[in-house]
Amino acid sequence: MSITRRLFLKRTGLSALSLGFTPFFIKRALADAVSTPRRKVFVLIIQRGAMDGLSMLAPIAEPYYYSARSSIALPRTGDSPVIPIDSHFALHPEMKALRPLWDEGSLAFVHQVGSPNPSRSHFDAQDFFETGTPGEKNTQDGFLNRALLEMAPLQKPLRAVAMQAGMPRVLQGRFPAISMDSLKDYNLHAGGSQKEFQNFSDMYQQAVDQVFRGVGKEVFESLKTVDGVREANSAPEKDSLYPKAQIGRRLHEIAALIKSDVGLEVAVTDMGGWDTHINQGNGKGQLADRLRELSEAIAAFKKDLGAKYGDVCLMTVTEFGRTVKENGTRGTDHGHGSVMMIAGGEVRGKRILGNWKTLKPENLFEGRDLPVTTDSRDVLAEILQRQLGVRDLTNIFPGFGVDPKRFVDVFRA
Amino acid sequence: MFFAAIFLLLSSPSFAGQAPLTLTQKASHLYDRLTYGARPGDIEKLVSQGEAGIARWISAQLHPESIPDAGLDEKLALLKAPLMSPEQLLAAFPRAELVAEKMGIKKEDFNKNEDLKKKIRQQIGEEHLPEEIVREMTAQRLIRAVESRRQLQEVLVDFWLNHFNIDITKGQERWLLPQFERDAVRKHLFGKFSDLLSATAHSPAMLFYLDNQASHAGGINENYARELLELHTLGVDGGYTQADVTQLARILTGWSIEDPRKGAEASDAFKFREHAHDRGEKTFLGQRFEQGHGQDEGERALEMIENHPATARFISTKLARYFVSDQPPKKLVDRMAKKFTDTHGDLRAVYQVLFNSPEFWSRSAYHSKIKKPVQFVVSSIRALGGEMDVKSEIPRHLAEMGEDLYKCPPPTGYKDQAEVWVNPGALVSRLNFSSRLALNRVEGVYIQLPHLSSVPNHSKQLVRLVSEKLIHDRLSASSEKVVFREFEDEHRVMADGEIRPFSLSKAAGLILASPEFQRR
Repeated sequence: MSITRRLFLKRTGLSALSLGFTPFFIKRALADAVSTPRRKVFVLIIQRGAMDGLSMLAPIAEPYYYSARSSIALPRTGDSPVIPIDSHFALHPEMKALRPLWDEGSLAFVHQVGSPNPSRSHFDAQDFFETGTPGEKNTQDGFLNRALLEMAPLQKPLRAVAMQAGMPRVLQGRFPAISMDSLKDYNLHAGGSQKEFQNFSDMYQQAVDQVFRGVGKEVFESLKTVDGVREANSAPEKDSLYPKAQIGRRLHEIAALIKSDVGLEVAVTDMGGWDTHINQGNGKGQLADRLRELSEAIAAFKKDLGAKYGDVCLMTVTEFGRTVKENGTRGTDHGHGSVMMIAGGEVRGKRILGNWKTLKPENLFEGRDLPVTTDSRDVLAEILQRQLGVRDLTNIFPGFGVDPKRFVDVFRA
Repeated sequence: MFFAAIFLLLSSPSFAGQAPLTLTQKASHLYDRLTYGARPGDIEKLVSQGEAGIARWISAQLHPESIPDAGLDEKLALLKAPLMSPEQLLAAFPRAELVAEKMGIKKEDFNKNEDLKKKIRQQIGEEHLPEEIVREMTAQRLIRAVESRRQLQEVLVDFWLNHFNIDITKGQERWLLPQFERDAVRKHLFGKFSDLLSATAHSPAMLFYLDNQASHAGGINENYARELLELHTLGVDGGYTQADVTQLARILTGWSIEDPRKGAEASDAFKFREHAHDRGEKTFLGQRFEQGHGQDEGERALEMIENHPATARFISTKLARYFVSDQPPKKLVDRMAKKFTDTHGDLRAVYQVLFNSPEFWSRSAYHSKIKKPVQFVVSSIRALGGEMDVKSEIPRHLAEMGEDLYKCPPPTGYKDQAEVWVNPGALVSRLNFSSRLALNRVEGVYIQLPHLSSVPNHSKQLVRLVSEKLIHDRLSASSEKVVFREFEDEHRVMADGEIRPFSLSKAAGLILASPEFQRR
């Protein structure tokens, strides 16, 4: 199917879906919130570039970990020692901001998680994860978009938001998701007056061009709601809570959307800088810096959300892991299995999920990489069902055969 | 019979039952695809020269040296960084760390002390900070895109820089990238793919970006070897295995760079490090590489992949996607790949097949591509007859729309498909930009609203005239209605009978913001 045709279908499908929509102004949105049953939120952070799972959660009890990584293994002693969290594993020292979440039991990890597809291409592996169909290149829409179509309808303009420049594949599809680089930029300065706003709105909502007609509808139904959120969250004191890194700003704005009751159920954002082929570092260094930014941002997000944290489930995921042995340039090359983090009010935390296989050459994938013992779709399926209430997962992960027996029990009973 | 007809429809969707493009549409299509958009008068001029003029125009664009571009050189001369070697850049735009070191400050102290950093940067002076290189590179790229008459050349720079993507913010890349764009990419746009590939493979910028410079015998780094196969030549489905990646990485051990920081005098800073090279036996893509070889086996591997049928297909597909359709017609790709193979990768010959193909000229290709942010922004400026200053706020707008020039972090480059660029956030940015530009409020850009010699009395005629001047036959009836309404509402005519400039700006802003102008 040609792209134009596909986009056309997407948009017409969308019009049918949103027939019942009326313009959404913030007052109405806030009024609706009172009568809306409590909805839960799923926040997905995609770590693009392939994060080294063995550095996020290191098997410090295994001698092979140290012998395979003479310069990049995390030190147990010294300036920045690892943070042991059980007898076998330790957190990266720069992830100390997340220690309280672990201790209180709302943070879990899945180790040796990933895709059944062996691709070591960033491009392909990210697409495979985001479409939910590993190995199948013709899937155009994202699994989260398909999940949103299955969820109970809710007349809100901001149910699914990608907080980044551009719509990630995971949210592309027939469901009208919104993408924005920031709350600040999602602002039609040019449509300052009612007349100007109407001009743009008419031009797009009545466009002959189906592709733009669809996206125009999404824009003009959500702009005013976002104006309201931005105004309500202009207080600067919250800024200090979050790290300066981009991921900090993005989680801050996602938190603002969650707290504004504008109907947010799915939020996606991404973070780069994980492709550490050279000078990866150990307790300190480039990877340590990224892990600190990520951890501090999540810790701040949790604090910022307050009681709303109870409704939220946040997951971090990466396209594949890296080689177990360090390469010749104090880094790691493209590998296979990695680690997911899951945090949230109902997460059965303080656990490392999955079936850990000891590090030794015969256990490694193709003799070199961390193996995958848990298919990431098994974890996602459980979250989609329990957190977002998606009952039927057949279309979300076609051909996969979702089986609750394989669930890792992310949530408390 | 029936099935045959259906089959024909499916197999050649490009021309089944479609009227051919008119001469004006052809001219418009050429400016859409082979340039960054028409400037006022461009299309009329081309149309006046008839079909033969179109053929001449393409031929001239394929030989950019035949097109005088002197006015541009004057402006570009204001920018120094794009012309400098890595050594010169390092001298002119020093690393703050090294300046500190010369002053006797230890690296550790420097890195910890933010105040000290600020002070040293102040001492270096804003115009000599390394960020200035990035600014100047972006400026030269945009100025050329907006003002150069060698438009196809600039469009191909966009295509190939994205194909061989490098993120300028990585480490020392900013001192290396000007040389890469100038000597590796720009030099080979119309030449042999093998020369282009070889220039990138020997470039310090690429070897550093993909971490090959430290890869050594017994301690390989696979990054460059993998992307060389996946992104630069064979394509991810080109038939290689993980073992091929590893073997190629071994073959390329020792392909390294002179550290420009150490002030190497060599102008070509590629360096083959003999001692770092793995001299053992290898097998790559089914061919045996005997032990005992040096740099020559890397050259041999490059020759194997540049002539590989998968490379011919991969490059042809990507070019057809960029110039014809998000879904490149298979038959066109076949013909381009054949030309690629027959001519040993003569890029100009491949472009010729592309620009002379019925698929390129088909009605279904017309206006079928969505403009990427840089295409939208530059075509807007060109439609308004604009010029660029060496300092402008355009890079910020591009970043907001998702196409930060020179700063795409992954080696994949930006995707060239509609769904990446059509999304709510990017649309809001485009609408904002259009209005600001038409009001002449974009810093560093100067536009001229269309001059209307005789002002029609009727608003509808006026709107048609303005849109005709700006974007030809593009505006849809429904968009036209909105622009028309805007005109009706304003007190558009001044006492002397001239159109109030503000009204004209408003109308122009709406026209550039229209869905129709987002396509090419």
